[in-house]
Amino acid sequence: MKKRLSYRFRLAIVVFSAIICVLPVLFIVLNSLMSADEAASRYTSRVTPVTALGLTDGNLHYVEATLIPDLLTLSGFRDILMHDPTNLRFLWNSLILAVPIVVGTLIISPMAAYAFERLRAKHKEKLFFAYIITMMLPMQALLVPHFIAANFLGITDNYLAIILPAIFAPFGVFLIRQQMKSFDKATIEAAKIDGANELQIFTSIVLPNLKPTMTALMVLSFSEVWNLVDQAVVFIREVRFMPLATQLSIAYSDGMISTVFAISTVFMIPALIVFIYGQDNLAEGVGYTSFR
Amino acid sequence: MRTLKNFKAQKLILLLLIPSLAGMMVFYFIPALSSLFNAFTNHHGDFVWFTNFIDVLTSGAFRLATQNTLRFILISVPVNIVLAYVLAGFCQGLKHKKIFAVIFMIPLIIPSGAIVYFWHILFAENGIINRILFQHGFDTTIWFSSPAAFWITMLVFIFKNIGFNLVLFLAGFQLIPTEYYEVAEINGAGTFQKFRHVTFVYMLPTTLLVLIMSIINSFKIFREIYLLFGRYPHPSTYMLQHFMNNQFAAANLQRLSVSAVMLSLAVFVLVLGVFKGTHKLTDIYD
Repeated sequence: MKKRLSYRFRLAIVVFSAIICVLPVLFIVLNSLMSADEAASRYTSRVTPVTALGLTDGNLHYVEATLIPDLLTLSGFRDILMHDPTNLRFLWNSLILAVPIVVGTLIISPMAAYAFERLRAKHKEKLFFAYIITMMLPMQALLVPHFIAANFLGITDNYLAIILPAIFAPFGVFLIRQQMKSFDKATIEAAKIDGANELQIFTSIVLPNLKPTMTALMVLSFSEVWNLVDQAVVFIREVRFMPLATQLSIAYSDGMISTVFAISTVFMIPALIVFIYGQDNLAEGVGYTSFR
Repeated sequence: MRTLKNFKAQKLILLLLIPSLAGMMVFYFIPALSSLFNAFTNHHGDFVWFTNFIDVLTSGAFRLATQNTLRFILISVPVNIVLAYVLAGFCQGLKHKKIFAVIFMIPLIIPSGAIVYFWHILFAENGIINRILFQHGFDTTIWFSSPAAFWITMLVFIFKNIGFNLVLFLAGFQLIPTEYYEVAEINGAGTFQKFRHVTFVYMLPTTLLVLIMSIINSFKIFREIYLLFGRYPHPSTYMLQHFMNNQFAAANLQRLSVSAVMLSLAVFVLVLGVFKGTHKLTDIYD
């Protein structure tokens, strides 16, 4: 048999992959500290008096990408505040979409997961199977259902048309239920003998033990909805109500490159905070999930 | 007495399910039924059997979308799983395994929108790759409006999703009782046999979870395509999601419902297959 790959070789591959994983983030964050003039001279695609000295081909100016700006400045961030407040509006839109969805999911999912695990009903596994199928479908396959429901409730021109279906999205129920399967049944039986009812068991025994999973769910669902694009491009008609994620692809076509870096950096911060808060529990929280 | 108490307990449990079930009914299940109705009727509400299905199946846009979506899933899912598995194997036994696991999650956690400008700088007409090609006297390409758009999408997808699979695999490795390897070794098992009889059996549930998650995530690729290429991407990245969005914008609920019904059916068959397959495979070894 072949010998095991050497420690150094494996380490080198892993470190290399890790660098690739952080490179885009580092690139954006470090370039956000660049002055507007430097960003323009490095990244503008047309040949202008500023870019003429760089590498050019006809009217095309090639980028001079760097990780470390010549001059470090916070002016990009200042420009967002002073000259381009629409981005802040988009950021706010993202926030009021994401927070209710995450909070709602964290309330609804554990309750339903516990019920699925403990209920003795004939067709519950079939119902759960329907949850799984729904979970796997792309949002676009659910457009008509969501639209019909929104129409019925009179919320078509409202964020609620996006928020409400997302709160009930079955992924959370699936994740938590799979985790609950490894939960010690004897503890629950003991509590029952002590006279605790199901609600008490849920709130004081099961829920506290779900902390890693709940944290993982929070991180995953926040990173998902903070990045919400699909629903927005279908349901939101006016640009000013769009979340930030949808606007960043359009942003780079017009002018102010340094503000693109700055707003992208600002956009990462909430996701990073949630991640850093939850990263300890993340691996454990999804870790014992398996498909059985 | 006992049954009465049980009945009460079951009622309380049911109470916990109701919010979720009500939401699923209102936003998913019941409207899905009316979507099913749309699939089999014309816009006057007359029952038309499979006319809508034939209409969709013969449309060039739908075929292109299905072809691209299938091509994307069939390549991205296995590549992603294999790469994540190999990388997880490499991480296993490294000193700072935990730190690496956290770093590999970063692409998933960072919103795609926030780093889309990085990809732009890399692949743009005046981007880093073209610059290098130009400097060395090669022909440059407008990557975003060439068939390469498909592969750029693939790269961005794998970059984003490999970390989550890796963390799942790492957690799965921990569930394997190490004694089993020792027992296998004592019985003279080679590397392959150890893999087949210990690793494979214990990693199967994890791998299936990874498979399910990878398929779910591969459906979310619309977001990356939109961010990279905007509303009108290259035809090689025209996915079922685009097709369905366009039907929605054109208010063609029949076509949209038909595609949704067919997609749901495909997913149903797939998940059922995975379920049955798991039970069969684990039954053999248990």
